[in-house]
Parts: sequence; C-alpha cells; structure tokens
Amino acid sequence: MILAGNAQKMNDEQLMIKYQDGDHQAFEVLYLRHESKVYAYLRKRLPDQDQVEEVFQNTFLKVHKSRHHFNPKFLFIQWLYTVARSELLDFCKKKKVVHIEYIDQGEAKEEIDSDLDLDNYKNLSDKEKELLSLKFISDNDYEEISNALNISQSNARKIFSRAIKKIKGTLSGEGND
Amino acid sequence: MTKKNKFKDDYNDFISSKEVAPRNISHSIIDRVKADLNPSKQLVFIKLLSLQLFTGLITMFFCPQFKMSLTNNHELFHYFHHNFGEHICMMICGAIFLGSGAIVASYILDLEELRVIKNSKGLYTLAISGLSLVVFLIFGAKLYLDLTLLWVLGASLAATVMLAFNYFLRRRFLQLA
Repeated sequence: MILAGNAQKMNDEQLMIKYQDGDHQAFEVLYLRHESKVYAYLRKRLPDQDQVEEVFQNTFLKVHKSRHHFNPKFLFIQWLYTVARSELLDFCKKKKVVHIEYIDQGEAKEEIDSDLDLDNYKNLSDKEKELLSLKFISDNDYEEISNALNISQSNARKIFSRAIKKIKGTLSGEGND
Repeated sequence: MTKKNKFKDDYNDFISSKEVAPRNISHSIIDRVKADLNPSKQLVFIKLLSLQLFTGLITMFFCPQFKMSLTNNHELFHYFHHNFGEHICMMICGAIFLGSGAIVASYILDLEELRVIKNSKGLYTLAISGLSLVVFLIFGAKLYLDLTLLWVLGASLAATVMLAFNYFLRRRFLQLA
C-alpha cells in the first residue's frame, strides 16, 4: 500500500478531517495506525476467531458510517475505543456471547503473589490452578500456556479470567462456602 | 475496582494492545471504504438528473409557460415580471427550477455523492440546465439568446449555491447530532 507522505505526518484528528472530506488515503493511514489496537483488544475479549473478525470489521465499518459524527476537537483514539467497545457489547448481546472483561493483570498478580498457595482456593479446578501457576510462577505467556495445556490461546484467556474471578470472589468473602 | 477505574483500565489496555489483523480483512475494509468514498460520477449525474426531473416537473405547475398549471394562478410570476423586469425574472425562473431540485438532492443523495457534484465546480448543474433547455424546446418553448443565457446563469448559480449550502448544513448537523 503506497501512502501519501503528508498524510503520514498528520495527527489522527487532522486525518479525520481529510477523511470526512472524502480522502480515502487518510482513512488508510488511520486504519494502519490503529488496526492492531482494535484487533488485539477484541482478541483478548472474544473466544472465537470468527467472532473477533466479525466485530473487527463491524468496528471499522461503523467508524466509516459515523465519520461525519466525529468532532475533531476530541481525540480520535478515544472515539475509536468507544466504537470498538460498543460494537463488542452489541455483538455479545445480540449473539448471546459471553465476552471476557478486562482484568488488570498487575493487580491480579499482586493478589496471587501475596498468597501463592493455590490449594487454599478450593473452588479452583485443577486446570485453572495449573494455568495460574504457569502464568504467575513460571511466568509463561498465553502462547506457551496454550501449548503446555493443549488448549487454544483464547480458551487459556477465558480460563485465566474465570480463575481470577474466583480468587477475587474468595478474597472478598463471596466465595467462602 | 470501581466502574470508572475499570473503564479507564479497559481503555489503557486498548491503547497498549498490539496484534496485526489478517491482511485479507484489512484489504476488504480498505477497498470497501475506498469504493464508498469514490462513487461513480455517471451514476451521481443520473441520480441528480432524475431528482431534477421530478422537482422540475413540480415547479412547472406554477409556471404559466407550458400550460401545466393546476391552479392557473400566476401571481408569483407576474410579481417577479412587473417588479424586476424580464431579465431578472428569467434568472429567478431558472433559480427556482434548478434550485428546488438542488435542495431536494441535497437531502436525498449521500454526502459523498454531493461532494462529487460539488467537486465538478458547477459542471453538473450547467449540464442539467442545458438538458432542461432541450426538453423545453421539445415542448415548444421559444428561446431567445439573451434570456436563455440569463436563465442558465440563474439556474446554475442557484443550484451550485444550494448544493454547497445544504451540504455544509448537513455536515454541521451530523457533527452536532
């Protein structure tokens, strides 16, 4: 893809003005600048690859349809985030898909580090315990975890998310039965 | 974690995420946007001509020249004729004929289609006023060079101004909505 040099130097909001005026190259630059953020964001939250691709396409088509609603006084990246998030939530609601909510891994790690004995959490399954120890004790990433446990990366993320929720529930007293 | 913090963390996760989307999806999105931003010029002209034909026909019901008036009330025409003279009356006549079509087109056509008309710098409206004169000749109108030129001038000018003004209004409205 050959892009105009001038467009590359512009900030997102200037590019949006050009895009609103019908310049497709401005859209291309914006797209190439931010597609990886949108794609990765959705990949972390949806378990299925096809669903990720569908919501990803819907997000950029929504950006295209709503381009004239964008006010260049505000940050484009925030607007793009809002569109991506609302497309994700709409999709999940419509298709009855459970998406994975954001979990601050730093916070989760802190909580686990303070009490690393996973046997204390009786509500965790063996798979969840194994995944947590691979994540926090062996410090593996999702690719390594998925290979070790022979599951997909999105499934690993889902199990991780579920396990953290259980731990949080236990620590806050909700899970004590 | 409060709802506000959760939202903030979710946004921070969005901007720090990075994973390139599959190339085929990227190409499909970019191509679709490109096609959408560059509508066919011929198609836009045909659409504008059709809308003009429809609204032009309606304005004929108020014109005494072709005996199409439903009310046979020509007070507006006589008012222009007596107060501004023959030449200005011809310009107003052209302005009403093509200007009304331009207003209708401004709210029916897409913004991208309107941009194509705007970028033609009056060529489309000039062509439609020329075609309209041919239709008038067919229906037995007597054309005089000076009056015809004034009619074309009034028609083209009014249509160009109305299209530009309503295009601006529509974009402002979308941004405020």
